[in-house]
Amino acid sequence: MSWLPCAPGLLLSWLLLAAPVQAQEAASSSVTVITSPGLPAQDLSRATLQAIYLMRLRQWPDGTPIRVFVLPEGSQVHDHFAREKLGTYPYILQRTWDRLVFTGTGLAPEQVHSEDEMRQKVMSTKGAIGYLSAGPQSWLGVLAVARIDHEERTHVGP
Amino acid sequence: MSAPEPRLGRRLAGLLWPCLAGLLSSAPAQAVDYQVHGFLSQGYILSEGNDFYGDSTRGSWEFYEAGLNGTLKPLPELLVSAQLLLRDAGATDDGGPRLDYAFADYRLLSRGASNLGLRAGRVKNAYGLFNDTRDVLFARPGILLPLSVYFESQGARTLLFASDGAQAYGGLNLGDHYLSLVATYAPDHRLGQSEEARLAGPLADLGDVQLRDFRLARVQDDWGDGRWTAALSYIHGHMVFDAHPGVPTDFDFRFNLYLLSARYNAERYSLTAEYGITDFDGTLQTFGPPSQVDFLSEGYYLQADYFLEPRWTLSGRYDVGTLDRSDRDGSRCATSTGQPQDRHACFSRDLSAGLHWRPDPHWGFWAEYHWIDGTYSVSQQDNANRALDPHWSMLLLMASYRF
Repeated sequence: MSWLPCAPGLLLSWLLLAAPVQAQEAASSSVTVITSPGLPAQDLSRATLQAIYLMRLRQWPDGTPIRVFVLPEGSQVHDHFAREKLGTYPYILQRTWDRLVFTGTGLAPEQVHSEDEMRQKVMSTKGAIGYLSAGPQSWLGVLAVARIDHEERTHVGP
Repeated sequence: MSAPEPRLGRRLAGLLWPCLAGLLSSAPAQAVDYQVHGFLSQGYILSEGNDFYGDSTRGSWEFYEAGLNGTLKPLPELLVSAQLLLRDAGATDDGGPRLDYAFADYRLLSRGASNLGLRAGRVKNAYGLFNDTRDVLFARPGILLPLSVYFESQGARTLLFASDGAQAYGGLNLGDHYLSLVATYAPDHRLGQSEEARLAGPLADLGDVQLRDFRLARVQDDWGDGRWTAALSYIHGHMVFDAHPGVPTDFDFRFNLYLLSARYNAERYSLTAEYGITDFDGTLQTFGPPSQVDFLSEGYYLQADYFLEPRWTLSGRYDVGTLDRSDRDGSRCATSTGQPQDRHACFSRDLSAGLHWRPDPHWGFWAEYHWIDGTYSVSQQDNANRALDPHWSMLLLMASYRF
């Protein structure tokens, strides 16, 4: 039983390692749309959310410029966000942003590299909107959760 | 009188490169009001029968594209954008830097997702689905654009490309539909020398080419959560040749281009089709009595892209261009000039298959094979002093990096 003294450490390691796995599992089920703490809790229609992510809508109703954040195209959370919240496919979003960027007619969303960075950026940027994998409320901190209509829709076929 | 060369764009390009490079090196990751992006693509072409973009029958590297752009948003209603472009494409482009676009965009009105605005400067011409991103491999449907509707080899690309002028645009959200309109106005102007040479060939040395009444418009509808796109584009222009004194050569014609576009995006595949008609009408005189020119050119293609998985795409395209749509096999066209001419010069039927791999968001690799019947899409400049082969093929490879 010489390994007993290590048990607490092993247990802790197991918990620490298991936590991200749980977050991953949550990611595969759904995503939560978040906005920066300064903005009132939003009821966004799916059309409005689409307009925001296609970069057609540039301001919140109170005039604050909208800052759009996204995870990388290959990310699973991004994929779920595109399908569940926008009812579209990641490649369609990417094409739209490429057109804006390479015709100079608009700015592309700002890309973050992890959910942690997403949380921090949306928290610290005025007028920001982003998304996280749905998890415990504590994960969201002071971020406002935007309710999107058609929440019950989990997948939209062609 | 020759056109002032380098043109304004060239000179501005020289000034703006260091400025954009400075922006790039200091670009912080925070939420800011500007963005800098760019791309670099290098191609390799190996063809059989005819040369395409360089000495491709022996293997050509003379095909590259590089761009660096910056977009600045000093006010919520104001955007300022510019892109510098380097492009080489055999004899049809020179590899030098140019100002691709540089404009200010002022949004006059915003109501939800609907909007109305004005752009002024060098603006990208909205024509079809891909003209305004035609030099960005990541934003066009393959290494080669469908040549039947995007005119790479007939010398028209610089005209199609961008205009020094003004543009009005608007978008209207109607239920599930997003209707958008872009209309471009370019003041009458003389073409630059290299544009003249590409369009008028040897005539360019004998006078100046004026472009008048150049107007463009595109109306587009996007619906079904981005699944469907349909568009109608229109271009009108009047080209007049001012011959040098004593030169018995003249031309004066008007052209109208109409292009109908449609795209369907499904989860695992995309279908794209465009059909265009160009109406030429005018007079042409080359060392003889003037002759009336009046014909309709036609071009269309259908492309299917299948996403094997997110990183791999398989494509197939059939692309047909015809100089005179009432003479699709080119038999009348072969005798119309009074000189022996292969009827295959009056059409191109291009069947191609492609594979595209995107290992990460920055890198992309493309491979395409084209089987082509006819030489309408071949550039004479790439094949000077040689007879064109009516049945030819080519392999194109291209790697691209973007940020």
